[in-house]
Amino acid sequence: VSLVVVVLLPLLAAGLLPFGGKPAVLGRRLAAIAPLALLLPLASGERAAWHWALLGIDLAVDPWGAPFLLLTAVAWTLAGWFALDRVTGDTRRFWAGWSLTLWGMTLVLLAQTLVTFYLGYVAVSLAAYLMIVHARTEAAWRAGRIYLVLAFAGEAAIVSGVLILAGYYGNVELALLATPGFASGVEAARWLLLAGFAVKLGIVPLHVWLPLAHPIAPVPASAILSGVIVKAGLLGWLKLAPPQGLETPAGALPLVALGLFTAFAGVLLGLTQVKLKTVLAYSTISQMGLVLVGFGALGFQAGDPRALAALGLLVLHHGLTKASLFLACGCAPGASRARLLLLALPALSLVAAPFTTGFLAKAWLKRAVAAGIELGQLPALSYAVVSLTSAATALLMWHLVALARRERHDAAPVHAAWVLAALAATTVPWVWAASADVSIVASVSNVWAATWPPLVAMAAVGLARAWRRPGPRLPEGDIVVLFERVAARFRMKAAPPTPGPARTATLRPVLGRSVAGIEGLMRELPIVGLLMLLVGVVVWFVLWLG
Amino acid sequence: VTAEPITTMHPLPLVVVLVSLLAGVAIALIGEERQRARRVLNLAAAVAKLLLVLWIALLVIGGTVPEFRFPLVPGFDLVLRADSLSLLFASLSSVLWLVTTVYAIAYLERSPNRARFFGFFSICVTATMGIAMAGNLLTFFVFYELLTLATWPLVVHTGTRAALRAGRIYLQYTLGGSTLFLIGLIWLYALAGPQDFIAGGSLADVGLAARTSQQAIFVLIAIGMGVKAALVPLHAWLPSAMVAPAPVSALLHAVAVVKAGAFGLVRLVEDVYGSALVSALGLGTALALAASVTIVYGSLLALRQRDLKKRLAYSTVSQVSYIALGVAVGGLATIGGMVHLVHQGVMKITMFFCAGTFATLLGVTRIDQLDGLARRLPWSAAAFSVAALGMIGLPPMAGFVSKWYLGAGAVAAGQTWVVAVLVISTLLNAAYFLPLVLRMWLRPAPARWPGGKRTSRWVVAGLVLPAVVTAGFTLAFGVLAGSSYSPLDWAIAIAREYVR
Repeated sequence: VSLVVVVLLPLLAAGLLPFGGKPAVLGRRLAAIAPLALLLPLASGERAAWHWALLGIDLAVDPWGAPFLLLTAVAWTLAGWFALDRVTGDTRRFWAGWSLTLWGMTLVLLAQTLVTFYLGYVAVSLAAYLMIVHARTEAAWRAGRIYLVLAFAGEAAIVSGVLILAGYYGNVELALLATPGFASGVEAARWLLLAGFAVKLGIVPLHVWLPLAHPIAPVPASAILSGVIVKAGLLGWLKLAPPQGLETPAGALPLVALGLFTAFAGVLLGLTQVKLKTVLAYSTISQMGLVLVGFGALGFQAGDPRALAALGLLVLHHGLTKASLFLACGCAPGASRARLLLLALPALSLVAAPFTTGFLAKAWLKRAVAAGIELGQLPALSYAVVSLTSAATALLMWHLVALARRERHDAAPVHAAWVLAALAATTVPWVWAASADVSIVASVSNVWAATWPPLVAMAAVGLARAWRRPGPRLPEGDIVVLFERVAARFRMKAAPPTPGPARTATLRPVLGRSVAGIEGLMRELPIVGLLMLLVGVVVWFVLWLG
Repeated sequence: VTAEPITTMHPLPLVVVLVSLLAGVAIALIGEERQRARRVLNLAAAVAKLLLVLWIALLVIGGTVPEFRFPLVPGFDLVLRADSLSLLFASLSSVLWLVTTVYAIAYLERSPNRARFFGFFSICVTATMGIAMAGNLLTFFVFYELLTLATWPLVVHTGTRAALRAGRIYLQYTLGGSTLFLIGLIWLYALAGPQDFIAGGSLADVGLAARTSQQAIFVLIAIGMGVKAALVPLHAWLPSAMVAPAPVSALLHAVAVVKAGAFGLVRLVEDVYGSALVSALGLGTALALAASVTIVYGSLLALRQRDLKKRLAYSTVSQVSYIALGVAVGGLATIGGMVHLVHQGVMKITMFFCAGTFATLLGVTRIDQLDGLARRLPWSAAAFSVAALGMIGLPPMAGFVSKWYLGAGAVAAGQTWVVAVLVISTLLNAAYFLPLVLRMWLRPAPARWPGGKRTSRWVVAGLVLPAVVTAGFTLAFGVLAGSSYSPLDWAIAIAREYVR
């Protein structure tokens, strides 16, 4: 029953919105609190399968799914509360996007079959668009356009992978994919899926949409996009391309390397930004690099039941922290000392300073990497590099707080949801870790290991100040600007550009012109006759050869 | 469908064909003026046909295959038989005919020559039913030609110069195709004698002996079917036939003409040659390639159109070839192809209904005029959006189910390249349908709409409701795909017959 409720609630909320008036208000409130219902299946642990629905919908909480559900329930509800009070404008479409995204995320979280997951993932990807373009400004349309192009590029890879899996196993039960040796022979599908879901996580170089789309959405939507929805990509990896299904951890090295690269690239690019939310978006990219490291390292811990829980811990920590940081952006965090403190607390946690939740999560990540080094699959250097990511994050968070202090005259009042989110970010992961047996004991050595990276960062900041050089500035979305220029070149001779969401295909005119030429010829009957003859001859020839 | 269907002599297949023929004649006889009588006759015939098809369906589910047979000339029988594949097509066309009739009555309100229109409309459906029920290739050919002739007056209905030109092009293509079909048919009968359609193919007995002739016959007949199914390069008539009134386009694209061609290809592969023989002759790959080229090419052209109906027309070129692709690949993909027969029908008819509604009520015919349309016609816009998402192949719409079986079937059959075709098609479909949906829902509405006429509430309802109903089918066929008697379930049952 709890699963039926949890799936139907967001749909019910979305269904109430078009009526306007009182039903719409009810729908909005329902959408805001619906994520709390996710705690029901977590508590009951039941399973529901509807074979008549689509090609077989099957829902249950994964053995390792608790931190994901917990994150969604807490972060999404707090953001929903914030959104109820602060989102203005075309609220009907915003809340439609909000509740449908939640519906999709629910399916993604609970999916036990291939189709269920894919359905949820598509819903998340499409519905998120409604929140991204909420502002209806030129910048919002642009972000939305780039988002859609990248989302469908990811979709192409994902649907290929899904269809290949379906060809081998049908609407496979996802748990089977994680059994060792089961999914051999579908390596191509695995890599396609890894690449497709990497778009959602913003793994460099597939990240270009993220720094545009996450910040342009209203504050609460940014919070869930960056805090929760990116994890749909990780869930895709874990459920559809799990490393536990492989017999050897081969292929983990490129994943870990790419993750570390993303972690540093995200920070470096983020340092060139001047808007709070954009800095946070780049920080998400960087943190998802760490998530990729953790995911890649799962292969080294084949026998360890706590490996997945540790990765879940990283997710829970980042999600809550990032949600509270984004909610801060809507509450003038630089306006007073208390507010700055409330901003700095989760920021410190992201830096993995001692005794924060990040400290806990980072310790487990390092342990996973150490396992890889022990197996001889990773170079010994990687341990130090993982530690250095904290120093990099510290730089970025310093930049963030410095930016926030500069915007002292912002008049937005504090919203209680922000305070609660910051509290949740600092406590919930510890509590959960204790209950799931993945807490750690603070020792001199690990406290020191968590202390020196921020100190390194401090030293770097000090040096940079002494130097007194202004940092470089890059446009949001960095290399996407280059792509846009190339695309604009192709588009030049087409019809006068129309603003808004219509411009999606960039190669259209060039391809179109040549195709149109062919089509013009094909309207002539004699030419079609000749073509047919030609086709006939070719077919004949091929058959004759065969 | 139970284990061994038993064929029994039964007049039902003939009756179901005759119902609409008689309705057509009667409508022509009662003349232009008697509007109410015509409406009653139209709707009664549509409902009667639907009930008859339902009756047949119950028979077939019970394990009997009703058949009506009489000799045309000695040795050559006209056979009307309702096997499960017939029923798939017949139920699609009878349901959509009813919906289209409602729509057409509203659409043609107060326009001239309605008696002529509805007369031929009914005959057109007669031909479609005949094609669905045809039990051998000769019967199929007879109704196929009847369809060509009965649709011509509908295409040129408005009588404008453009319409007449489109009609001429239509006849040139289809009659040309029919000639090749006829040659192939005669050759086939010379080679193997008159044969009924049979699961697994009647040519299997001839074997690989007359390899070259068999290949040539296949190519000839496939071209005959391919003209109507709009396989590239035989598709050019379809976009130009867009000048026809919206209900005709809807019928042409979703039920009658294009579908008849695709259905013919299914019959040719599954019931005349048999899947095994087709692949042994190397024809499966050839057909799959032709279908793939059509899928991609049609989508590329659709992307270029600025006119809504034109874009829909090219999208049909692309989407109908999913059916040919499915039967060409074989195995599980056959299920995808067959079920797409139904799914493409309900999705595309929805879109054409909506396009007609937009043009009639608001004067909107171009894509850049769609901005903010959902504010004026939310139900139509919602219906259109559901169909568009289905066309892209996104779950939980019907189109996703087709794509799933096509792709998975192709992989299972070792033809993984088909997945690439499907993915390219998905992306192109998204590129030319998604912007329309976004425009309708997210852009501000213009201060004034381009035109359109003021009509009564009943007419508006008659235009909007059919699309909502078919959009409901689009959603239901996807969401309920796994339940009994869904189109998917039916297609799986048919495929099982062919495997046996």
